[in-house]
Amino acid sequence: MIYCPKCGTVNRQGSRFCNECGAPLPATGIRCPACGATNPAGNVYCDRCHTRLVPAEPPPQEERPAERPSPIRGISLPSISPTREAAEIPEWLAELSPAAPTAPEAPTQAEIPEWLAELSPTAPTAPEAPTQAEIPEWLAELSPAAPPGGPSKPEVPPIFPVAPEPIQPLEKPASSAEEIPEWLKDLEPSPLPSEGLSVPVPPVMAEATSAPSPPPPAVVPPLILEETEIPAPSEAEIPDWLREAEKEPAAPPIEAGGLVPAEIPEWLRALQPRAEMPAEVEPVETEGFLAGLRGLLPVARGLDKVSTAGPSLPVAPSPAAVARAELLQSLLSRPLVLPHAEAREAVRREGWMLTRLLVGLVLLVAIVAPMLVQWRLFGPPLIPTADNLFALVEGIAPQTPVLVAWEYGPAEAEEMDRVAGPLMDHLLRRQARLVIVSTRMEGPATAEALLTSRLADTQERLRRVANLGYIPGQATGVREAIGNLDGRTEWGSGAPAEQIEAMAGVQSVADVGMVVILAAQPEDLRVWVEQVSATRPDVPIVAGISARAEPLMGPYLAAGQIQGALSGLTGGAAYEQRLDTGRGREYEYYLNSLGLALWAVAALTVLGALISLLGGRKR
Amino acid sequence: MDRFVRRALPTSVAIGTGILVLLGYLFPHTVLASVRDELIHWGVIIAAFAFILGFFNLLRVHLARARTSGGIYSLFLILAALASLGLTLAALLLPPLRFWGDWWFRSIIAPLQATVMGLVAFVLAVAAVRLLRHRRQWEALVFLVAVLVVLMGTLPLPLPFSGWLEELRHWWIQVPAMAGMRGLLIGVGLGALVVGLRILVGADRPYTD
Repeated sequence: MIYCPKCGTVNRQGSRFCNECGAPLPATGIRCPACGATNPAGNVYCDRCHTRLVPAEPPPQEERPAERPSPIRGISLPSISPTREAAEIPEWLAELSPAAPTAPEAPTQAEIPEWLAELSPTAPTAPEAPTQAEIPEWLAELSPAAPPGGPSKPEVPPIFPVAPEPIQPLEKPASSAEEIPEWLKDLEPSPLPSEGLSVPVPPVMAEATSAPSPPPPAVVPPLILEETEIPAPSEAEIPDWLREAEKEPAAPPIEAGGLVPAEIPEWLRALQPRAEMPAEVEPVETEGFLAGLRGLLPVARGLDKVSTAGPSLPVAPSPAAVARAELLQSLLSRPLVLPHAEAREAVRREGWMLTRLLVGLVLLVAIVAPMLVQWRLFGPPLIPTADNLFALVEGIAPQTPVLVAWEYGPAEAEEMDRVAGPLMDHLLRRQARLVIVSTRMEGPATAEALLTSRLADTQERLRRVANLGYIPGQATGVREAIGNLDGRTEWGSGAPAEQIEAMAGVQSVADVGMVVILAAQPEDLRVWVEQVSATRPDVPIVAGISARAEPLMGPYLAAGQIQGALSGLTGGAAYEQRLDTGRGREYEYYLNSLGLALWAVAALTVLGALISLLGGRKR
Repeated sequence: MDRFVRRALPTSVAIGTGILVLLGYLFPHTVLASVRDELIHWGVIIAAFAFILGFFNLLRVHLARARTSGGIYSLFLILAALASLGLTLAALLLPPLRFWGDWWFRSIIAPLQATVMGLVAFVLAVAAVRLLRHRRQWEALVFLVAVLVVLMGTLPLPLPFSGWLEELRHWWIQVPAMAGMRGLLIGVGLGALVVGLRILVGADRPYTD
């Protein structure tokens, strides 16, 4: 647990920031110098990048085993910690090992590291050894201890580039020569061919190891020799890169005062503790909620400085350049019109206008011509359903109430009046009492207009006709009208329906002798047929409908729900011919106009289809 | 509270009313039938009020549109609607003014509606002429042939051609047209049933926003 120094909140181990206030928490783990990851305390290697976090500590001098021999100085070899080596050496091999080296001599100066002090008397290039304060701690830990016997020549830590040195020949341990088994003797390296063979070591090979100098031959364990001893290559065996490295200039000598920082390789710098990094590399935020955090935003130098130099053109544009710019602007501002598309659009417009003019002219001639010449072009069609309807109406007894659903308005009146007219004439002729309702707002007025032309006498009309007006609600209104006829008021006079003579004895649809549906819309026909036939299936239903609703009437007519019907102007004409009310001339005119117009439309349709099929398709 | 008023209360009322009306049709008991008829009566009254609200909403919308550029048509619509309302109310309240109400209907409303219907017929005729010009497909050809057959069957025939054309027209209406209409009616019935059930169980709430 980590306690926040700002708010005191307990945070999880390893947290970098407080979960409550966001303040940075003191680092309790070890931060990896290579990748920055925080590792738990006690980690030797980074959990993320496996970089060594704790510098390898040399074993104590008195317990220090024999140093690993390095026949070729500066070449990196697999590093094995001494303690591990000691632990991994089998017992039988330990017996073969030479005795522990003697303790080194005490340093002559307390402030000089031991290993450096031993090097100082014989180091020609380091007249003055660096003091303990001048050497970083991490580097001091990396520094190897002086060999027990002391080097015979000046030594520098191999982590720094060193000048090429002649390879030290390996010496066979004399004391244990007789104790080495035969198989191990075979593994012993052969003596170097020449003592003076010099193998240059490039600086890049000078990797940090804990073996700064070749140990005395007596302390080299045979097993280690097996791993590390490399026979000195002959001149021919030296690779080219090694020869080139030999030609490189030697590293500058170590000056007085210690190490040269510029010669530390980059990878080694990355291993330096972050505390030694300069503070300006990662600035600390001073404002906002990020205050106190380090290294969050990159430093953008110069962004906070306002430039005082204003934009300026190097030279004034020439008149020719201005003229070209104006020309380009005028071209860009001009609408893009393709000449072919414009012409095609004009042709299309002309064709469309021509078609409409042609159709309109033909229809006008077809409608007006029968007015001028009283020809009889078409005879009334034979419609069997109209005959059935005529027979039904003819069978109504006088004073029988008939419910009339007036479901059309002025828009359809020119057609529907020709359908409803003869039917109303026939009902009035049969002395039937008409009870009119409508679910369309214009229905009552349209009915009143037609019936006024049939019954001019108002008193007579009130005795024969009860216009109960508009019933809102569509299907609900139909259901309401069927069940509640006497609770309404008369549309023209405003009198209660029960006080009207035509409504005598009529309370619902059950009291009428017939239901007549005058519908221009198929939907109105469907609603009325379904509601009435479901409520009073014994009441006969007849219909006078528009030509548009005729297809919908077929199923009801075939099922017997509609017992008689006439549709459209032709049906009205057929009924008028049967009834013979003296309006035959009117129907003849309408038939001629309608017939001519329809024939003209049919001819134009065929003509247009042929032109379209024979000509090209218009896109 | 707001959710209750907006959602729960209308849904409860609609479902309860629908179940009561349905029970009145399923069980022809006197009490249930009277409740059913009363609810239907309420429905008609509510529909009338809804129509009044629709009228004023139409005025409000076109009043806002009349202030914009090109709102002259909205202004004409408002004036015509107010004139119709005033003359109708005057004819109902003052019988001497009934003449002007009838005149408004006969001389303004009826001719205008008939003219619009005539324009629809004219547009349909032009579209029929140019049908194959834009859609040269076999479906369009079949549609065109069907239109011609029904047209020639509907219109009064000259006496020399009334024989076989009348038989063709009769077959066309009795077989293909009636089959299509029966299919439409079955679809309408099933759709009405499903919509009714969905409203009854509250799956559809067209009465809420």
